[in-house]
Amino acid sequence: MKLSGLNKEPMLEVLTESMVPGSKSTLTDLGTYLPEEASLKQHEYYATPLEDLEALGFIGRVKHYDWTLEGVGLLVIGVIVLLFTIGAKLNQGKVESFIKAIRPTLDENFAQVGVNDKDLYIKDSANDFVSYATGRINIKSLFFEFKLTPRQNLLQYFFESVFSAFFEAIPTPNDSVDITLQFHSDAQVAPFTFAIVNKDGMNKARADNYYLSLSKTVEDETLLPVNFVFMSESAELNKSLVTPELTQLLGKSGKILKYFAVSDLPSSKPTTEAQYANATSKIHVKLDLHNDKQSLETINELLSELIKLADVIAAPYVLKADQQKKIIATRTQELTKLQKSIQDAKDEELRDAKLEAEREARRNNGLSRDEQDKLDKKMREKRERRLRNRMNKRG
Amino acid sequence: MNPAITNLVLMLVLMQVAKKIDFEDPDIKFYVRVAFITAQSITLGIYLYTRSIINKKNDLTTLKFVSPPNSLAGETEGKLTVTTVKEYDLEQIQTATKGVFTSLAMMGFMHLYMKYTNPLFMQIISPIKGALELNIVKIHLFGQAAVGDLKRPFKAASMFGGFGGNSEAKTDKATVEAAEKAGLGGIKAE
Repeated sequence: MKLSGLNKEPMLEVLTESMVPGSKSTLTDLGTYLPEEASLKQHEYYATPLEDLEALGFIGRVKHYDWTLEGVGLLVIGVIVLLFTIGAKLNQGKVESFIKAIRPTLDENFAQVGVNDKDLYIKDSANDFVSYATGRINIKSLFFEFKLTPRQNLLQYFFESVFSAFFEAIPTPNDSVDITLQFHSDAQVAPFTFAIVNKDGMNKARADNYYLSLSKTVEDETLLPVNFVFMSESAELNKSLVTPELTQLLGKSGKILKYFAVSDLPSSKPTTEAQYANATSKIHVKLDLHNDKQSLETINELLSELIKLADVIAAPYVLKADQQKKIIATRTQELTKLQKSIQDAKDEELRDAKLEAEREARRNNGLSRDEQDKLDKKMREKRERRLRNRMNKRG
Repeated sequence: MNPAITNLVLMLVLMQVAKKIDFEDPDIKFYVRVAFITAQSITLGIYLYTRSIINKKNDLTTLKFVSPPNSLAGETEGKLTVTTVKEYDLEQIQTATKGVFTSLAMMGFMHLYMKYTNPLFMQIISPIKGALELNIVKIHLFGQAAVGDLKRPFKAASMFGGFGGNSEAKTDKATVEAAEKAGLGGIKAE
């Protein structure tokens, strides 16, 4: 059926129905449709004339009003707050139990344990904590940086867990602690990199740390358990710095220790000479945080062993002259590379500036548009001719 | 036989078969759906089982190789990977598993939103075939020795038959040792 020139059929049913006196159009019907009991009460409240509401008084109005929506809202907020608090407390508990476990070693070695007299640690956020210890011979400070799973934010936790499986850029959430041991500035620590790295995730360790990416990865079954490798600059370091106690301890640390490294180089690749020159020898340790008693005990022993190692290195430990020379040669090479890349960047900047200035000068020489076009064409032809000539000569 | 050729043959055959099937029939639609889901589950099952074998073997032999530079990303030097056989294998399985989920998402879109049943039918055999032809599955599930084509790092199957530069990872001592001292780690994004 087609009426008039309309492409679409008119909504006849609706039209006829609403045209019949007394019958409701389906369209207006939808607007006033109130399916639920709760909203019916709400509707009643808003339908009551203002005078009647005023007459009810404050208490009366509160009783008359339907509070369901507000109630549900509060409940949801309550649940979120509760989950946040539980997650945050769990994380805090992890940090506290870690510090408690290494307390014996820290108290034995350091005059000050904790960030100040009162606080053992500082909470930067519900999943980032830092702690500190200082006051010891050879060691200036011990800095702990905790990075925990976002247990307080379940949504973030969930998405990070799922997406880390699909995207490389998102790391799998886990509990880890980075420990940085700094020597006193007057300590005579030789420049070298000595590192023991867990095979699980060693590629990432190499990619994350500049100092590791300059050393060879070597397996050594006599000195290390099968799940660890050396990333040191000299085999001599491996032989003389690994004690039998350390080897034995590493056997238990497969799950805990990601890596530890002694290095005079920074962890992030230097981009300026100052960054390169200001780097000092440090011991970097990365641990996975596990809260079972055995792991915590191992962590305590490991820390104590590392402090002993720091003493050995600061004694000072001296490499054989030829080995040390080789290592220093690597440093010089790296510095040259760095200087070259800085120079290259500078040159490029200068070149760009020069080209820009030339372009600017050409634009502002007071010529009309046509003349400018002609000049540009001439210049281009000249350039091309020159290029051709050069090619011909070469060919 | 070359998997690429068998895939092509399989696809042509399935296309002919698909022509004869009435995908509008609700019964047929149901059976295709069941077959598709079963096929995807079997594929995932194969990967999960292979993963468990890898974890059980726990082969911590160190593996070093220099992958070719990605010229599209403007790289000039190859990147060194230092890993273990276990980690390498798990990564392979991870990539394959990711593929299953990607195709699942695509099929979900095609079937549920665009209402095509044909692609579902086409994807019944090939994922299982692909899984069984995967190097890593061959090694762990069928116990084939990791030599020849199955030697890690695996050669990436190139679409253009090796055209467009060297795409093979290098494992020779000189290249690896040079890359080990390249100092490319710790580059922090600004």
